[in-house]
Amino acid sequence: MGILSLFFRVLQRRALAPGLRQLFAPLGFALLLLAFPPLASAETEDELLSEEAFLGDLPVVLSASRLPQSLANAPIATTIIDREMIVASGFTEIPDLLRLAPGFIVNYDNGYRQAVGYHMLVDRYSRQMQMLVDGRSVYEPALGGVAWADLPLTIDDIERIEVIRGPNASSYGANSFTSIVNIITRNAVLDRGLMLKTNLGSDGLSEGFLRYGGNYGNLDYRVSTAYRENNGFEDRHDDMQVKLISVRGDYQLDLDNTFMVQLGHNSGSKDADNVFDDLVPDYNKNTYSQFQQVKWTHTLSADQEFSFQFYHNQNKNINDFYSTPVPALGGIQLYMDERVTSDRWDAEFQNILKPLQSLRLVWGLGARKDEVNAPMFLNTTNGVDNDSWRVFSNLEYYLTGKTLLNIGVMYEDSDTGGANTSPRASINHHFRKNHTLRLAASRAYRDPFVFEESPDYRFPLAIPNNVLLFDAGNVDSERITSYEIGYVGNFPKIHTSLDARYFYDELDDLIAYDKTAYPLGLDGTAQFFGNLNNARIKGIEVSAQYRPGNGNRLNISYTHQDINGEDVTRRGGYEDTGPSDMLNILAVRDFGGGYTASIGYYYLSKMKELATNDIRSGQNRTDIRVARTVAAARQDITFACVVQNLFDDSEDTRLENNINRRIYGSITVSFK
Amino acid sequence: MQLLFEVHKHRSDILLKGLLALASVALLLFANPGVARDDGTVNLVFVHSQTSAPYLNFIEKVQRELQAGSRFPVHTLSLPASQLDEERSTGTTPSADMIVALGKQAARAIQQWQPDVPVLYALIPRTTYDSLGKSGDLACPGKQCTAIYIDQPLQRIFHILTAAFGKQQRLGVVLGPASSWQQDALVKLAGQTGYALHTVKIHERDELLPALDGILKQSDLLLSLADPVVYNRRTAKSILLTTYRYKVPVVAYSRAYADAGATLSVFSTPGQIARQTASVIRDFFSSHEQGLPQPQYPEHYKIRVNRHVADSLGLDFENKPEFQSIIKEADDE
Repeated sequence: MGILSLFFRVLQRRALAPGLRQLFAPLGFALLLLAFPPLASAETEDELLSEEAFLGDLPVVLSASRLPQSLANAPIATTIIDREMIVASGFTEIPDLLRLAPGFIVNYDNGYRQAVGYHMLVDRYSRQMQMLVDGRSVYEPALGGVAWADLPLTIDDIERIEVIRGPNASSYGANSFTSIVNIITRNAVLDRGLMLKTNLGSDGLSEGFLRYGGNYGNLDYRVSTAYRENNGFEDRHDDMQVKLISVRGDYQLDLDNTFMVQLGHNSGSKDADNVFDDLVPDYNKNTYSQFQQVKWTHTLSADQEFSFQFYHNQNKNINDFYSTPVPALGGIQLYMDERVTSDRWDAEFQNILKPLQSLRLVWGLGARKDEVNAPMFLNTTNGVDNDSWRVFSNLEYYLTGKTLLNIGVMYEDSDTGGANTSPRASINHHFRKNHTLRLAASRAYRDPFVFEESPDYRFPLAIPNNVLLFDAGNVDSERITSYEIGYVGNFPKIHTSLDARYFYDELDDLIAYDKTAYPLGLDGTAQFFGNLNNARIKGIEVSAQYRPGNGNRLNISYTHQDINGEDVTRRGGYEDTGPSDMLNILAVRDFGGGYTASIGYYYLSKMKELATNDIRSGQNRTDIRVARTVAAARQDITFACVVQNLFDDSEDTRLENNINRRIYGSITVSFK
Repeated sequence: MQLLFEVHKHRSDILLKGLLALASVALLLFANPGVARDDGTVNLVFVHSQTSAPYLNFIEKVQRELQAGSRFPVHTLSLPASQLDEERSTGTTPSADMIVALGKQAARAIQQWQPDVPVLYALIPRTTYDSLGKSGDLACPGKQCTAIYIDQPLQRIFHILTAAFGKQQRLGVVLGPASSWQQDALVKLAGQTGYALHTVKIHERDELLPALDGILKQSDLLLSLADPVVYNRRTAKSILLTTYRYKVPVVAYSRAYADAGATLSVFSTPGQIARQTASVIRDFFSSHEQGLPQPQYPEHYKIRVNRHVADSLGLDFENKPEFQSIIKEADDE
């Protein structure tokens, strides 16, 4: 109990900003109460084994819906990044973990803002993919993209990441466009006791993590807090400090009912600059994000259940500053109010049924409200809403013992995108034991973000013709139609699995901005959003995994692709929005005695720089990690040393494409 | 007796259960103790630890088996263990030619009763039967008692393990106070099958997760042996999630464990044990010279595989012909 009170004192002093303290004080108090049960419930019953152990019921823990589907039965190519890979990679940033999946591009806007894309990356916002944390959609409703550093989530709380490499709206909801990233955090029951971790390294890397997990009766809970800071890139004004706290509770009411509750808050102080705009000085901004999520799952049988989920996300980017003096205006400094607050409320009901031995059915309903307050971008101090609702269904039906049919459809109606129907179908044929062929076709839509739908972006000067970007109306959803022929093979004798596919994606009505004559424009012209581009991407993607056991493994993925773009705006074609070749390798060796070593290599061939049309050369990154775990009776201590970008490979461009060589040491103490 | 039988058919009806209790009390009060076996009728008294489906199904199944295949008429009376205590306090105990005790509570209640007829203990774990016997808490009038255990012989489990997972596996077992007696047998069988055995013994629940973490790091397979300190309703979730995280399949001992997320379970249903019980009763009353047999494990059993879990652990049981034939054999019984 002494540890607990110390823990809460540390929490109060270090991680909780004053506003946060208000928010979490009742919660902390409640947890404290929970941590001091009146007395350990003494089970003084007969110690002899009863037959009830053999006859009694148990709650279903690993139900079909909670287990990852066998990759050979997945309707779309899927990659699992598991805990072992996450640890071995030595990555400290969550988006970097996606380098471990085939075909993913990770680039930097600055040191703390990464942009992630699958096969292509149009700009600094990862608009075209779905990003979920435990089924909670975390992409930004305002401008798109994911503010990775602002997520109230630590790498150590991640159990695994499911990466679905293709559109799958019927399973993962709106915006499941080029791909879906589903981060699954660890069930609270897995993290008992106190864990302390610190990372210290070059570029001002300084991170402290504290986690406590415990239980009170049938409630398992975990509280994670973190303080993270680094100096970002050498020649950029991009230092960051964030403090975050997240709480997860898993409560087993009875055999059939479980509740999951999660709360999180992240507050950050970030330096900012703009290498493309001289008007923007070096300045500092604050960011806040928080979420609340509850999920009730009622198990009907081992195969059937229904669940109800509700969540709310809020992101605040307090991004306002005075410009550098503008000589043309007599040296005045303009107030740039780029503050953005966005809220998302989402409720979803889902029902999993197994009406026949060979048929599994999932259906559900959902509704969502996104509200964005962004005066500079929308020219209104009122919130702008995007309301939507959806209905979806997926079925898995065994046509024969060897052939599985997967069909899914989502119907969605939103303020920004209108009504869209997203279908998909696939056939997985297990033509030989351990060998599966998959044919799949899928269509999905990406609704315009609020800024794309109703932009009104003006130069911050009270003159009539100050419009920079206006609402030209009629921006439709982007559409993707994806086809693939895939093969999944398992070779148990050589401990190897293989996943290969040929893909062909048609992307239409891609949203981009262009310039046109506009009377209210600053120079008689202004920019607008429209469905201006189309693209066709085809290629092959292969990944192989060798796991001989004993903690040793080798993962290799390779993608070769060819992007063809029809580019109305002629602002640099889609051809260059993605590299033609991508390779990643992760090798892990367990030497026994607590010693492990791993090496990761990540390669992207040349592509367009974020935010410009400059072509940058290929990116190579090699990371190594050496670690030793000393297990003692009361605690495990892990010492690790990581070198990132070992060969310091980077190109001198305006936006950096690679971190500088960085070394950090890490100590983790887990009390048992 | 007809009333009793009828009521068993409507076991879901609580009201009728109440009536049944009243009726059995009435019957006990007015029962004539001298009728046993005068007309060849065998009086059986079932004492069940709980009044729930598995026990009532068991009794019904034994009755049906005996009625179908015996040359003597059988009268049965069934009593919850809790009620037997009340009977004892009022001095009215039923007369019987044999008592069939179902479960631990029933065994304890009968010890208080101190009957003078043979007792057959069923649905009882072996360790419980042995412990009660050793501590002198087991009613065994004139050494006329035996048991049909509810648990499985380790030899059977190892046979199934090798068929399902192959040889040369690293097998982890977490033992508690009620299961540690099997340590020697585990070592011996592991030696015979070429398994590397890792066991850890815990004494209280707080030791479970560290012990489990330690054992899972060096195991390809986890064998669960029933023990209230290690495996109970409160620990099931942590155990299944932790083993799943380590990608270690769990072989457990009850249908519920396989449904909850164990990879497979080996268990005998109350129906299977009831059949064996009926057969022991029939043999005993058919031949007067023959005493009760030695305590025995269930002859028949079932294997339940959780396909979702097996699939997601990448286990291919379809490809193990020996395992498939064991499952089929068990199902056909």
